[in-house]
Amino acid sequence: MGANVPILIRQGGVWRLITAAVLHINFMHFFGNISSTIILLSRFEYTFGTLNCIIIYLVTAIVGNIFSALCNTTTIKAGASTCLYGLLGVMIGYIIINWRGFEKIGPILKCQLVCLCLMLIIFTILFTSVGPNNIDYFGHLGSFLAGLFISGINDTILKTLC
Amino acid sequence: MEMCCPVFRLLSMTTIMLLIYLGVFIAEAVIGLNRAGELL
Repeated sequence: MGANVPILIRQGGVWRLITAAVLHINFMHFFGNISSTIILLSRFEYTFGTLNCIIIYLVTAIVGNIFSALCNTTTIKAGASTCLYGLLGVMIGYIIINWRGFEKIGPILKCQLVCLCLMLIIFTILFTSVGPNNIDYFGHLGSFLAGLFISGINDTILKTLC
Repeated sequence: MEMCCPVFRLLSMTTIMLLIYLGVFIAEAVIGLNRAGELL
């Protein structure tokens, strides 16, 4: 139906790199991803705007699925988590790049922000480690790195324009 | 159009994506293509 099947992608089904990001394996997978989408994407859309979110969503889905298809050629993969990890990557990249700009929020809120990010990363690693073995770690890692990269590019473009 | 949550808007990409996910998931469930992940 459009999942990330590496053999079919190599045979020309490149559309699977995008369609895999809207398919889900079972209800728990679906529920986990839509709840994370509501929390993360709504916040991102509010902060960065709809157009930026569409670009981030598409790029992280494609890069994550390419990375996953290259690193794990045997299994079938699907899910919106690639995009969500991309959003996490952008968020953490944004915080790292604009760290000096966070001075005005004060040391307590800054510390809370770091704790929140660390908690998010640790919780994600723990959750995916103790969960079932059919989690696509490569897809998550690829889209997370793509998200970090996008936040860097975005910052460079803004500095060039302004 | 704003709801009780200040960052969530009803007419937004978030809502569209949620509707797409829901529609595809229902289609998968109805057609039965997601059994054992064979035809995903």
